[in-house]
Amino acid sequence: MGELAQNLIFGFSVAATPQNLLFCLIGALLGTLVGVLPGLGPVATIAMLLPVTFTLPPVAALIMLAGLYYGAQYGGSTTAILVNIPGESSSVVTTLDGHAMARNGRAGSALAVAALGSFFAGCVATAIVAVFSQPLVRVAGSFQSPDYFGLLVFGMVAAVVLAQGSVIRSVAMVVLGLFLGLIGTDIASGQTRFTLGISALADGVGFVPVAMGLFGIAEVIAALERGGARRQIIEKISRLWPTREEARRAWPAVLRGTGIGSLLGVLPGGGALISAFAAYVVEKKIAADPSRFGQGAIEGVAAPESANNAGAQTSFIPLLAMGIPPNPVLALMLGAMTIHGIVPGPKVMTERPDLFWGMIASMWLGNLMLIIINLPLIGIWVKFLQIPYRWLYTVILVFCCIGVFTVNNTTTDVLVMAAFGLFGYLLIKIRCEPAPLILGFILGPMLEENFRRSLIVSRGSWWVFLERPICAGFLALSLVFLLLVLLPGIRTGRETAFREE
Amino acid sequence: MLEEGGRRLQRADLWAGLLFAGLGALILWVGAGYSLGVPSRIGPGYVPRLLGILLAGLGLFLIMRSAWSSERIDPVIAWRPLALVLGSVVAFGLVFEATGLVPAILAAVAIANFAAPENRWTTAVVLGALLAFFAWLLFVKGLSLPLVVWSK
Repeated sequence: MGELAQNLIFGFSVAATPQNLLFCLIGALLGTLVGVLPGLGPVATIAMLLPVTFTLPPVAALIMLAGLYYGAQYGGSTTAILVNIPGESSSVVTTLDGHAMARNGRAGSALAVAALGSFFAGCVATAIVAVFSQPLVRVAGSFQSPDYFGLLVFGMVAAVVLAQGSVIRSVAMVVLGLFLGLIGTDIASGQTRFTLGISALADGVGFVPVAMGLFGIAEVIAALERGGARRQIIEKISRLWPTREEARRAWPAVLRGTGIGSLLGVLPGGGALISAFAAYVVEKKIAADPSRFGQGAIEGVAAPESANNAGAQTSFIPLLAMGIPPNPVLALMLGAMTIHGIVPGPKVMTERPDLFWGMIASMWLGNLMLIIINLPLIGIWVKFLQIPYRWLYTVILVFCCIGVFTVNNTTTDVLVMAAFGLFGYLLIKIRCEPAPLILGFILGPMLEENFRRSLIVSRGSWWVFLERPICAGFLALSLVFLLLVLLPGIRTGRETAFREE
Repeated sequence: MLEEGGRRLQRADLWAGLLFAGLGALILWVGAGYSLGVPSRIGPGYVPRLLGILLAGLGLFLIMRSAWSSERIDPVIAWRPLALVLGSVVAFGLVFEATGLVPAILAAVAIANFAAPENRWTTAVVLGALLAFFAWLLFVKGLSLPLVVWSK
């Protein structure tokens, strides 16, 4: 315990230098901005900022990028509540009850509960990252290839099961993503695979153009189709504080949301998005009167908004402890670390304690900044919401193009982004969720590598995946999850949870 | 009868199934030439082969399931935003390659602007000028990224 306190004090001494505080603030401000602006998310923004981080000291760069990610969780709720569209994908469920509250003249309460819940969750999640990273690094030290394989499979299954949409179609999307992640040169044999003779693909398909095509570009097309210009903004915000009755209902939901988010953030495949979904479903399941949900139940704002912030922060644990990027944003963080010659994984804690503890301390400081940025200064962000979409989408498109280009300085990536924009639009049309594809894409190479190593160790026997208790446990758990969700009773519950849109 | 057939063609599982089965078959076909290796030392074709079989299998299952699943696709394609948004991204890439950042932004804005029917030329001119200026200011002057601004 004394050691932890010492580490934290050291962390704060790193995070509280004027330079690092400044970059933490920049990250929090930018994060809130891209969270508020629909269609522009942390992935596009971090991709754009990646080249900037070349010139910064690594600690400052990572503090800023981390702040951007959890800052976006704060900003996203503002748009969800006031405009009824998610400013950030992890705020999708907040639109249901948050906007209903705003229509009933309770916008101020909803905004306050979302921000305060996020702040509480942020503080708890910071503590969890600080306390549990060290033991998890030790656990990860005992992990061998089959265990990593099992963990990755479990993460992907959990992500599919906990998210929205048809399970079978989502599993197929993960498989397709795993395949796309393998395009390019095979590390073990040096052979190029599935490049169709295009030399630019020898290094693989970049995940930034894929992610931004599927989410950024496809989403712009879909929003224009919906007639993005016609939307109603609720500008009148009465008192920015919940009533006593609302607070009484919100607190337990904040606690549950924080717990769910902290837990799901740690999974490979976890993070802000599925945490918010899962928290909403749980609230609705345990509510005495589920029919209030969708009509402006404050729990439906408190739980998912706490959960997405907690999940965003604890998703740093798998990256820092095991080197596994659990979602697209953290995959970009991994890229940013690699640029600076830092290999994410168990060694970061011992070799770069300044980075590790500095980043943790900055998370708490960042949350403190964010609560001020998002509550007293809410009026500024409402102004941004008044930018008409018919101007905004052009800006988003140009930023996406520049962002994708600057990562590798190649026009091929811009064209790949266009191709995946088309593919993403078609996926929306045939009701396939793109998120599982990206997850598979990120984890594909890691999954193959651990699969290969496992078979080398076992001399080709697949029994190795069942002989090691950790791996067998993860695989059994995956099977249970899949069976549970495919059995009729639970499936209907899962489908009705999101129906009142 | 005709309507019945039309409805069947709008089942989401059918289209998703065809997509996944087709892509799975494609993976197996293109990957047929890659070495599978031996079980203890798998080759570059091993995991893609597994994934191809899995994807094709899931696709076939979805095609079969579409006989009694009811979720519908959205058959309307918004051609105007689709063509203009993708066109503007492609134009950005090609014009950047040929000249540089500023013309690429102008070209992208000029095309993307008309994806929303209510936008006029004036919007494109103002947005294009603003975006080109701020991109130059931010990325080239401010962050000194090595981007070609305007060559030739």
